[in-house]
Amino acid sequence: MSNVIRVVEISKRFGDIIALDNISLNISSGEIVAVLGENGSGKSTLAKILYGLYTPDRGYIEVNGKQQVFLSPADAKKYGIVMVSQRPQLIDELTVLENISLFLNKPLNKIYNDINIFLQEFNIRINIASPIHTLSYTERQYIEMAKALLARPRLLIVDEATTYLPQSMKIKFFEMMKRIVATNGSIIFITHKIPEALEFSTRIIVLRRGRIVGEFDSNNISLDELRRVMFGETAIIQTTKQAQDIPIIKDAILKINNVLVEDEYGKKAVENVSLDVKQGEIVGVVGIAGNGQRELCETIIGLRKVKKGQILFEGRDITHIPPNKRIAIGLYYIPEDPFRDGVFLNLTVAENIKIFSQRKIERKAFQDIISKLNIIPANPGVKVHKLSGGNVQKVVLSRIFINIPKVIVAYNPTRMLDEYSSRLVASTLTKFASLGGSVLLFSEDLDEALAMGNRIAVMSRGKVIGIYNYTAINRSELEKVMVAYA
Amino acid sequence: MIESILNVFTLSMIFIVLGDIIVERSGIVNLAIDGMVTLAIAISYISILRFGFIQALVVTLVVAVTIALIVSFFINILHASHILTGLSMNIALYGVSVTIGIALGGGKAIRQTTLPSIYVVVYTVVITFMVWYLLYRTKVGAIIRACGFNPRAAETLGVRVWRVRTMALSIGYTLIAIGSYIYTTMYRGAWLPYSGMGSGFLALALAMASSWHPLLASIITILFVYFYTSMYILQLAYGVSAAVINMLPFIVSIAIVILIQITPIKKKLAIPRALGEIYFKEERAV
Amino acid sequence: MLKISIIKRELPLHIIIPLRITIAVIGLLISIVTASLIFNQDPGTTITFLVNSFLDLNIFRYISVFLPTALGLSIAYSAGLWNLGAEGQIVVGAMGATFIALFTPLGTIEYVGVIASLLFAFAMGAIWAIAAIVLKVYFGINEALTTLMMNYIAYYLVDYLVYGPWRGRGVYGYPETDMIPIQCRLQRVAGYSFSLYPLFTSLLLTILVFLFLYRTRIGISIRALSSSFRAVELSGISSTKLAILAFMLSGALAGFAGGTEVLVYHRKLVPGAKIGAGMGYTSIMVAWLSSLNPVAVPLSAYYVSSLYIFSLAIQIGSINVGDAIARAVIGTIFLLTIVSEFIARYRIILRFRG
Repeated sequence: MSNVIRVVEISKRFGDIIALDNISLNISSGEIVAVLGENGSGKSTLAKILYGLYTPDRGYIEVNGKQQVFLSPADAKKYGIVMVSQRPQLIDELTVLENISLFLNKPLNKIYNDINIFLQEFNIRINIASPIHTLSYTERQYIEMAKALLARPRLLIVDEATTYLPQSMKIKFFEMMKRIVATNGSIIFITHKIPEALEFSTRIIVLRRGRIVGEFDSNNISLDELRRVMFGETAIIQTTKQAQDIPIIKDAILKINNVLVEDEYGKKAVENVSLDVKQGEIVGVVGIAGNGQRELCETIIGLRKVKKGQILFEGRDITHIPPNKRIAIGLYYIPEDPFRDGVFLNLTVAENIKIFSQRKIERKAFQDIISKLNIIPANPGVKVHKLSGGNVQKVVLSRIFINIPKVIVAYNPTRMLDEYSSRLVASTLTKFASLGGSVLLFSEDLDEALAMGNRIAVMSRGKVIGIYNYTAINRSELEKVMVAYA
Repeated sequence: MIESILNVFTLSMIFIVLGDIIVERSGIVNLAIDGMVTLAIAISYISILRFGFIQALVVTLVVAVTIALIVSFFINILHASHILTGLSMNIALYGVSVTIGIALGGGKAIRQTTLPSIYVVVYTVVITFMVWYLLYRTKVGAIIRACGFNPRAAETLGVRVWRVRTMALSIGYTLIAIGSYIYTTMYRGAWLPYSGMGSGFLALALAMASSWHPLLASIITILFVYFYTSMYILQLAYGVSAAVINMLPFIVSIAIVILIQITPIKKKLAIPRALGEIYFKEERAV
Repeated sequence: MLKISIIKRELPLHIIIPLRITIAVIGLLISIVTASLIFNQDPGTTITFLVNSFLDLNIFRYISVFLPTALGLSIAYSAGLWNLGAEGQIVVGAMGATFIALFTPLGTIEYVGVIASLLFAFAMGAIWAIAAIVLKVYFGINEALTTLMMNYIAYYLVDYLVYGPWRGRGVYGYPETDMIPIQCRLQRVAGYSFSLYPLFTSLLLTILVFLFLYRTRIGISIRALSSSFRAVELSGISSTKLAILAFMLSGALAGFAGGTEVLVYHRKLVPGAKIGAGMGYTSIMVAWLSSLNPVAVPLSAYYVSSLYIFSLAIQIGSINVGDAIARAVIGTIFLLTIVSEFIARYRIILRFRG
């Protein structure tokens, strides 16, 4: 039986959105299959169906020639299917040991030694009796990987978990993956990075809008060809440099002085960070995920308390004023997940815009903004949860057009979006800067930060370890700086 | 001496509070507890009248587990709000308990049993320790707590959240039923319509005051009941009104929770973060 | 083996409304069947009882409590905040009204007494609710549990007063205050125990609450709170202030209901549990029965009030059992409503493996 696992005609919808449309796929033992696709193409949904987190509307999974419908990851695990999640899915309040014990379904004392031996092999020094919340984000990712490998899976699903790991750790992890393959296991490797897919897989499946649009042998396909398949014929992206050097006479509009921030458990998350943004400038903040970017961003928009230091906006001290007051003076925020922090799904488009608007807004203005942003359907009375992801982000962006922002803080604003909507967001931000606005762009996507930023700040372990002019640094140097201290 | 600090009423309340803790540690807001206590008291009363002590305990437990399964059905399968489920269950259960109490019992007294106070002490210590051990030293306990902290992550780790919550409800309601049984047979020895109404919410307050920790919960319950039973003395000696003393556990539990929230103790006593969250597995998440 | 999975869906309004009506009718059928069986009565007679209950003017006595209270609760629930404290807010509202009516000179002035009493009832209800929401927004304490506990504090507070300092001189040992002055009483409809003034006020409030929640920026933002506190804050509106406002309004309306209970029905202060009489808890379900739509609240208040009257009608002979059966039936109807909510929001997929 060479076919370990078959995915047969699987479809999945979320409300009006079709996430997967009749997907079939065979995974033989000893294979590393890369599933490549941009955000919103359905690749994560596929991973979650294989692992039992979602149940497909139609279709099934076949293991050893038998049809299966997994109702829970517990079902999938029974057949040796294990997933490493994009973001570590661990219980913060329980210890490392308890978490792994829950996952492996084995008593604590039986696995204690195994875990320690395993971690030693990886040169990871973590006390496994400490609760997860005391660990850094990267350490949590190690545990997320370790627990999956300890289960000796026959199918390991890796959902974008390696993208932002330090290079050394990545290599070790891929070594372990090869060991699984050598013992007749197989791996599904979900990614949106074409080079990664080419480097580590034996076969590449390309998903677009919930359908398989191509299947290739990794040795017989070029990067450019993959890119064309992934984005469709029409949308070959060109990263045009729109950023310009800013005349230095301009004053800093937003100034962060020596800021110290603690996380929920009293650990230092941001330490001695100083940063400024000038008028008409885009400053990119990059770094490996979990190195304090989120905390710094939330501090600037006012969701977190500053322990020490100062934040100045147009020379005014805003360190201790709440987010809503910061918006009133022109400091706006574009979130990573438009569904969660950007809009109100239970309300209509018009109601959303009405909430965003700082001034009284006329009935006619709703239709204007909808046609200006090309929100589809163009009906102010439709509830936002009926819109697709791209249109939801347009509703988020409407706040920039109906108000008069001075600084926009954006946190991974394109991460959840497809290519078209990403470009809309990017062009909105660059246009805003060219008209004299300022943007502070937190991004896990180096290419995006480099394409848009006038200056790039690199964060590591809660500190800004370098600020570079975009002309003075290239991608590979930046990557080196990012991982050097992580 | 011991009786004045630790009596049968304390023991019954400790069972009810500990049962509530097991349920709420799994992330379920247990508002149906008040109806459950009222029903369990009525059931144990009529089944003692009709059958006998042992049979009565069995009947009460069977009824309690059935109610636990109904609550579980509403919360885990129908994905209903924990609060609405609890409130509706309460209204229905109050009604059912009084209906059957009057129809099948009708106010007759039952032979009251007494429990030597040394047993009260032993049972208190044993049940407190058992619940603590279950929650903090076994895998089942870790799973229950995991569902209360973060059901989504627990599911991803391979826990079937709905099963765990159903189990926690069944275990918890079993303890609540035993507590109610003790209340009827050893403390009250009689039944009136709506006997026990309010005790469940009192237990809810005491559990919250302990931040859902079994050891703390027992201590707080003992202190409160001691206070409550020495009400007479307070009333006679200092002229403190009964209403004021009745008010105390609720004020104190709110005060303790404020104290926990504003001091560093909060970090030590990990409280169930997902309490009351309607967990829907297929939610489209990040 | 059978495998069951549950997914979300959204039913259109033209299916949801008939669904709700069906549930209401099933509820009535259950009432008829239980009442007929237990009292060994001809179903025809029971149906007559039921129809009469829906036509009985006494329902307005209950509507005047349920309507304003549930209206207020629907504001808090629209914001995704759990105010379970309507019972306590009614009780302190009653306390506030009694205080003005009985212990201040205002109570003996015509018109002024009534208005001042009701305003103070409003204020007391609001204060009682604010205490809980402040703990929620500043300390993160579960508002459902605190409001629930504050109900008991309110009960015992009023008990303390009527057994102690406020006990009337002419009540012969009963735990209650003296009657409030005549100037402070609202005129009842002849032969009934309700007054038209609070009813009309409540209907007016229904329209105001609807306009507030669906037409003003503040009101829309209160509804937005149920999606995300953070997103509201990041839209430039203080989520803290909105949450406090939503709770304050819901407490105030419950307090108003409590005030009218004193001015119309009791005309004195009685122990806490007798003022609330569980109506605060029932109002919670009245609010949800209307899907939190203010315009539908009068309908659901009418429906539940009729069931109350029905329960009174069937309890002739054995008072305790009638009351208990009514509770059991009403509880069951609420549980059915929850089931209908499930049907409206989710779909079940059955699959046979292999």
